[in-house]
Amino acid sequence: MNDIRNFCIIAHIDHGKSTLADRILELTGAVDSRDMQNQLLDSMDLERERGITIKLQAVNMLYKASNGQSYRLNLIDTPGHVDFSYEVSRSLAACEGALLVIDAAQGIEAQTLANVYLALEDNLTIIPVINKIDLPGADPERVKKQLEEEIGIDASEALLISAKVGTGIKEVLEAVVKRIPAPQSTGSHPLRALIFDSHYDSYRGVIAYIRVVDGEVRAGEKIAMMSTGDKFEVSEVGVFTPKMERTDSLKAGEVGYLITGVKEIKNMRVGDTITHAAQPAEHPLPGYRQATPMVFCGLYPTEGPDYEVLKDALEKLQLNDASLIYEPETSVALGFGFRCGFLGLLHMEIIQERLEREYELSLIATAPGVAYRVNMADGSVNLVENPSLMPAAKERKSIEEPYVRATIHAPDDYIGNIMEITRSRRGIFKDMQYGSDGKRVTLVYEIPLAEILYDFFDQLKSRTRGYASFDYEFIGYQESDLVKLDILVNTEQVDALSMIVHKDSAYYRGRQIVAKLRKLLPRKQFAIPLQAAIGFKIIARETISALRKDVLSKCYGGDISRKRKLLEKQREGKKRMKQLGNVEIPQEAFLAVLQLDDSKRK
Amino acid sequence: MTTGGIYIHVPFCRSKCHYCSFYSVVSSDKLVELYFDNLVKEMNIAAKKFPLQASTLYFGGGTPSLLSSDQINRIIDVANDCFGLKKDAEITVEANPETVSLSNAQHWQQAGVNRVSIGVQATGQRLLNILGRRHSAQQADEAVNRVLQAGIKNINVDLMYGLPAQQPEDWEQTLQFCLDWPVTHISAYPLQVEENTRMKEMIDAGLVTINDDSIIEMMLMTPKILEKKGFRHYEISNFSQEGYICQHNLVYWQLVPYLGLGPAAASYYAGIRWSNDVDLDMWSKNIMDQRANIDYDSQKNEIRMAEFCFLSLRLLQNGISKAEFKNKFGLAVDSIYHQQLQELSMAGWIVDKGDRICLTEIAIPWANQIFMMFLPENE
Repeated sequence: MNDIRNFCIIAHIDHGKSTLADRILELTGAVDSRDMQNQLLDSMDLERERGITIKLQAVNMLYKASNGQSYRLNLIDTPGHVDFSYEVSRSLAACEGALLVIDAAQGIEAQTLANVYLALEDNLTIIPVINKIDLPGADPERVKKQLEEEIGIDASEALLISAKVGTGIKEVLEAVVKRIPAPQSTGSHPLRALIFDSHYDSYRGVIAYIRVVDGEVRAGEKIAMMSTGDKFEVSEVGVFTPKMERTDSLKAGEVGYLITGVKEIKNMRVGDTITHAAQPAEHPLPGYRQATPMVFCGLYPTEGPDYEVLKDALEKLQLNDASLIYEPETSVALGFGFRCGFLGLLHMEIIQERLEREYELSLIATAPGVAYRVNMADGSVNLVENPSLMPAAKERKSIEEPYVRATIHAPDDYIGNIMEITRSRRGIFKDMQYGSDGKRVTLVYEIPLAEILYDFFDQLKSRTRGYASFDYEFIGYQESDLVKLDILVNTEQVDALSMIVHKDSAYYRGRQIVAKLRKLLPRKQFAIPLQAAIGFKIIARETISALRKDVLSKCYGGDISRKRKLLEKQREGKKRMKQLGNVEIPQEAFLAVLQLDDSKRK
Repeated sequence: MTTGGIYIHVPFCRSKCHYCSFYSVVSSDKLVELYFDNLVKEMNIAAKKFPLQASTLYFGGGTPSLLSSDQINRIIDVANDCFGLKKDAEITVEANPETVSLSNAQHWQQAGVNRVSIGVQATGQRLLNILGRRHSAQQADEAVNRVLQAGIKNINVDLMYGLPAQQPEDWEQTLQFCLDWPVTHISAYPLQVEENTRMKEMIDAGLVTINDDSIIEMMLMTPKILEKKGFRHYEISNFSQEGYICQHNLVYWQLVPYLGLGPAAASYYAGIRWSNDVDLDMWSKNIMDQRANIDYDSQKNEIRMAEFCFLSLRLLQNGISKAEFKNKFGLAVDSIYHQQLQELSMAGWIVDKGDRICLTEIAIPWANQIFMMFLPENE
């Protein structure tokens, strides 16, 4: 037991986490350097391309330390982006220590802080690692100072490395062995193993990633899930090297995988505790922070028949990503699809991209939105994430929306621009601090989450010449003067275009959307009114004129019968159109409306 | 006795206009003679079968002004014998500008004609050529002055917009040109491109094009311009000075009976709609047989209700009278067309004024869309 070390790496995006992991794998010989592929732990194409970690991975390595003893190291990778702090907390629950990787040039970023705090809450031992010391702009001393001032950890033992060129890697492993405690020796206790992740294999079913906390688990044993009481037989256990390698058993302190032949992920829920069916443990392990979806949107296949494929794909993705939630949704305009909940914007983007890439789906995504808390007139509280399901105005008392604390770092030249952007998005200024270099400034705002969903980051980047970085964390719900803006095409409400907006911007938004739609929708044999409405009040209107024939003809000699028959013919045409799906809204039109940028909103 | 309107269709033209899909024949004395005899016959038969006291008499066409003033005089006399023309009856003759001479106009006036409708259509020579009209703007001006000189004060001019290559500015010029005349009534219709017309051929061949968006612009600017000169927009395409609403037009929109005489003429009497044979020969033969083309559908209650609604809506201020609907059909209009009315009012196309339901100004370009909603679904 003393030879096991479970640790993870915490780092901001681009601070070199995955590169460090690669070097560690190389050094321990877990991967032949011939097989070495950059960013080995990031096994998804998408992760490698974007240079980010989305899914956490675990790998088991053997390391012969300088004291002559061999250690088994379990490295659990963590995603760096704020959207994935849920996954981070899962990794942390499986570890005793963490490497905190900081870019020697850039210093500590807000996101780094958030994850460090998570690790400290979990009583993890933190080893500061200052990376990229080979870079010209590296300033390790400043980073050390930051470490002490901002996190309050002793920086004297911080390691100075360059993962890229491979300096200091051995020292990192030595520190892991020396400073991170071995897992507690509780092998004789009844089995308790935390499922910290899982993935689905089409041949073997659900593969659960577990950290055994107490006891021992072997193939052939009967296990029980502590949350549901469901019982399964273990068909295989093993470790990741990083390939899956079968072992006889997994003991307390060890990290590995467990297969039962279960096909449905919901029977092996991430966060659940596994125990023995015969001698169950008394209490389950404490879970970790539950993922709360913060951003929602509808996903619809471009081709109707792809609905099944999409359903299947979402199910599979959910196997590996419990933070993804979805439920079926139908839209008059878009057909069958799903309302999906994501941890954040990046998470949403990643899921969409994975669906399109890995499942070859062509998707339409509706405008991203947030979940609103609606205080009803009768005193009850509803959580509404789909704007089209917002209760009528007379039934509700008030609407609260999620607010985030947005932290923006940028050179002080751009303060004016940043303030302009945040003001136009209802941001409330909270704090401004100059960094230790007296040049970089940190601005803190409280801002509605909904306001940062539309190209906020792009705006921020373009108006600070790419210098600004931005993080946010959810701080709670606050009451706002919000209204539901409906878009009616041919007097029928198009659910997918409904949105919740602040009252002050409703008119502008409504006009903008109908004007845009008028240009985008194809003409029909009949005229199509386009309207934006708040409740029954029409606030903006446009009409798409019909293809020529609509105009009124002269009623020669009072031949009403002829006139009526022409109308009947025209009506038949309209009816046929209606049967063919009414006014079909081309996807480009949808996208254009949904991508309605706020660039004019200065 | 029922009062109503009499419509006389005169199917002769000197040549066919490029947009016209109606039946017309090039006039010859012989044909006009034959037509005249048969028309007199038809009037006598109709008077016996469908007794009516005429409050309006309307000569439409074709080109009624191609009839001699003597013929027009005699038709008015026969109409008076058959249908007892009311003392203040509105008697209208449609005329093409090039056919209006001072003596013609004077004869009409003497025969009792008190309203002349002049087919001006356009005032720019280029557009007149595209339409295939045989007159110039100057001839139109002369025609109007001759009619006035003959003592007929109630004058309508027919105009068309949405013409190929016509810009809203051209249309405004045409309107201004006509507003210099002391006319009492203006009809302004968008060009309808019909199958089997020279216009359709020209469009299909790409010789001319029509901009749909500018039609709507012209449609919407028309009332704005005319209202400044005291015209009231009383019907979708018609404008009048105070007291000069076309009575014959009202007959059509208000479900008042009318008899159409001559080829292709349509009638509405005792709740039944029918029309005469289109062809001059067929019509001549069938006068004796009395084989009219009856529109049986028009007797169905649901069609009658729909007609009532869309005809009423044409009269912008009157709209659908809720009381009249209930009186005619025994049910409230809101209950029968609940869904349609709701949808239309959602779209901002109608407005409920309490006792009546009217089209809104913005709805006018889409009137056909609205009208068709009242028609029953054909399964």
